[in-house]
Amino acid sequence: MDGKVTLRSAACALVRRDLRLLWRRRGDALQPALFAILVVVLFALALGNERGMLAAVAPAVLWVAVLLSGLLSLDNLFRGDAEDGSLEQWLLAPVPLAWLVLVRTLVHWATTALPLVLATPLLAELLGLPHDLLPVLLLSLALGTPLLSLVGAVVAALTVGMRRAGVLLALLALPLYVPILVFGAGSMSAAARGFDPGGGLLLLAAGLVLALVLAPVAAAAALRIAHA
Amino acid sequence: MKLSFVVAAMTTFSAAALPAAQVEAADAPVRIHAGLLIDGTGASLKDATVTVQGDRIVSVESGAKGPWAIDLVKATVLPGLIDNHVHITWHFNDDGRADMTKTPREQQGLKWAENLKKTLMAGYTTVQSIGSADDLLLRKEIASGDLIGPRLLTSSTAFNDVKMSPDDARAFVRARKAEGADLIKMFASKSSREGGGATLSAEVVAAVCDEARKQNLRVWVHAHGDDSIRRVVAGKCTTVVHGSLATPPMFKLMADNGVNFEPTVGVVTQNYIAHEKNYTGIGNYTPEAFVNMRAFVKDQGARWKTMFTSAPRLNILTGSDAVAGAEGHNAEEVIFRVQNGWPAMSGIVSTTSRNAKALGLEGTTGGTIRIGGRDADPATRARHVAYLGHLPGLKADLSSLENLDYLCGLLGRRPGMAIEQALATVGLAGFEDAPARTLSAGQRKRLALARLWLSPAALWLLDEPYANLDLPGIELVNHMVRAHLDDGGGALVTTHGAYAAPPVRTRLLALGEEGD
Repeated sequence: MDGKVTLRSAACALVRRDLRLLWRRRGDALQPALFAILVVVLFALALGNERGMLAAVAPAVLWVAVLLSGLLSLDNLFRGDAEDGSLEQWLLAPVPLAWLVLVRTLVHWATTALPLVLATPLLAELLGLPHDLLPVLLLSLALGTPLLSLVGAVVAALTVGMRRAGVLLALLALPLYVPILVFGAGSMSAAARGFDPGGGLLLLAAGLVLALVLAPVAAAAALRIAHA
Repeated sequence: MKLSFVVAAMTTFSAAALPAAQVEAADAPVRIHAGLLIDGTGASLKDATVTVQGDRIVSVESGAKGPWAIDLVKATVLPGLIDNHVHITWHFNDDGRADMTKTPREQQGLKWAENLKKTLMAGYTTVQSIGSADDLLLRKEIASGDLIGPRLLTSSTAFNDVKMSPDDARAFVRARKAEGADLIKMFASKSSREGGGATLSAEVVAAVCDEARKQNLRVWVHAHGDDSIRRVVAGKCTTVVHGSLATPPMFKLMADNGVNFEPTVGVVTQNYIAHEKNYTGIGNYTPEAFVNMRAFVKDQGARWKTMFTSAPRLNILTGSDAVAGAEGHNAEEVIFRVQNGWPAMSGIVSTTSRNAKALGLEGTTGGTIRIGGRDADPATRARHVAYLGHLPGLKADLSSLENLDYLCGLLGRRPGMAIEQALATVGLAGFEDAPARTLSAGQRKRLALARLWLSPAALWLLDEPYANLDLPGIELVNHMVRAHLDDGGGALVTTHGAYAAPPVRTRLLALGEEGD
C-alpha cells in the first residue's frame, strides 16, 4: 500500500475499522439481534396456543421485529464518528463523502440486519410460518432491510448534530419506513393468499436501487449541514 | 512538494493602478512583477506577479516566472491610493489668487485638467471631490476615457444652508440624487478659523442623513467641535470630517456608533499657510485667520495622536482636503500621520482598502482559488489539506497502529513513511498496540500528531495543536512544523499562547475583537 487513496482503499480501510470495532464491542453488537429475537419469542409465547393465527401474523411480526431492531441501532450509525472527530476527517478525505457514507451504511447493514435475515428461517420455524412462504420472506427481507438502512442513514445524518436524537430519530424514520413495511409485509400476505408476490418485491427492488444511488448523496449533504 | 497558493482577488479598488498607456488591448493580460507587493489589506507578498486583464486584477501569485510587461523587481507595488476628500476644481487663477470666480470659464477646464493629472501622477487612482457641481462634468469625461485623471466621485453642490427646514433638506438630498451625486457633503459646523461651532440643528442633520440613507447615498459631514459631532452621530451619518476641535470622548462616541472619522491633519492647514499670499483677503481667509492657523498647526501632531489613540475601534479614513496649491500633495496627509506615530501599514491600509470600503468600492467581484496551479473546487481542495482540530478523530477501541492504519487508508500516506516510524517520531514507540482509550490526553494528542505526520497534504491546518501537551510535546509540534515547512509545505496554526508559536514565523495574525 503506497500513499495513494482510491475509492477501494478508502472503503477497505473503513470496512476494516468497522469490523475491528465490532469485534472489540461484540457484546453491544449482538443487542439488536437479541431484541428482535425477544420480540418474536414474546409473540410466539403470547399467541402460543393459537397456531393458525401465529402462522398468519408471522410475516408481519418478523418484519416489524427486524424494522424495530434496525431503529435501535440507527442512532449509532454516525454519532460515534461525529463525537470523536472521525467525521471531520471524512470530510477531508480525497474520496466523496457519499462513498464513505454508503460503505459505512452497508457495513452497518451487514452487521446488524444481515445476521437477522440469516436467522429468519429459525424464527419463522418458531412462529410456524408455512415453509413455502420462507423464500418470499427471505427475499423481501433481503431487499427491504438494506433499503431501511439507507433511508435510516439519511435520517441519522440529519439528527447527528443533536445531542440526543432517540425519539426524534424514530419519529422521523418511521413514516419513511411505512411504505417499505407495506410492500414487504404486503408481498408476504399476497403470497400467503396464493397471489403473485412479485409486485411488492419489484417495488422494493426499485426502491433499493433508487436509495443506493440517492440516499448516500442525501446523507452526505445532511452530514455537511450538521457539521457546519 | 511546493505549495503555491494563488488567490486571485479581483478587487475593484485596486484595478486602476495601471497607467492607461500600459493596457494595450483590453483582453491581453498584462503581467507586472513586484519585488514586494503590499496588498492594501495589511498583507504583503515578496516576488509577486500581478496579472491585469482589462480593468481587473485577475491573479496575484508569488514566485511566478517571467516574462513581465512591467518588471518592478526593485520596487514596492501598492494598490492605487484613494483620497476621500479633495476639491479638484480649486485652483489659483492667473493672478495667483485662490479666487475661482475670477477665472474665465474657458480657462477653468484647463486648470481642472492640470489638477487631475497632478493627482493621478501622485499615485492617486480614485478621489472623492466634495463640493462642486462641476465635478459631475469631470466625472463623466474621465469615465469615458477621454480625460486623463483618477476615478472621480463627487457630492456635487454641498449642503450649507443654515435656514433650510428638515423637509427642504430632504428635497436637497433628493435633488443631488437626481443629479447623479455619489454622496452628500454637509457643513454642520463653522470652519475651524471661526471657532467650529455647530451651524445646523440636530433635526436638519438627522433629516439629511436619513434621506440620504433612503436614497442610498453616503454623507460626509464637515464638523469640527463636539456639539456638531454629537448631532452627526445622533443622525447616524456616515463620516465625520475634520473634527479638529473635538475632545477625546467624541472619538469614542464615533467609534461606538460606527461613524467613520476622517481627520485632515497633514495637508490642508499647512497648505493654506504655505500659500498665505494666494489666499489672504479672500472670504474668511483674513490675516487674523492666518495667525490663528499658525498657532493651531503647532499642536497638530499632538492633536492627531489624541485622535488615533483615544478610541482603538475608531474607523479612521484618509482624506487630505487638498485645495488649491495642494494638488498632488495628497499623500502628505498620511505621511504626516505616520511621522506622528501612526504605524505605516495603518496608513497604507487606510489610504487603500479602508477608504475603498468606506466609498462602497470594495468587494471581491470574483476569482478562483488555485492550489499547485490547478483550480481548487471544494473536493480537490480537501486533498491538499490536513486538519488537526480539538477532536482527535481517533477510535477509543482501536490500538494506535489500527487507528493510524485506518486514517492512512482514508486520507492517504506520505510516500516512504511507515506508521511505526511516525509513532516513534511522536514518542509513542511501545504504545503500538495500546488501545487509544488507555492513552492519556497528551498521548492521544501525540497520536493525532502522528496522523498529521503521515499525511501527504502540503497544507496543515492546526487548531490549538499545543493543547494538552507538556513542554517536550510543544517542542515536538514546533519541530514537526519546521520540518514540514522545510519540506515545502505550509501550516496555519492557531494558538492562545504565543510562547508556543513555532520558530518559523512567516506571518502572524492576531485575532480578537477590534481594539483588543
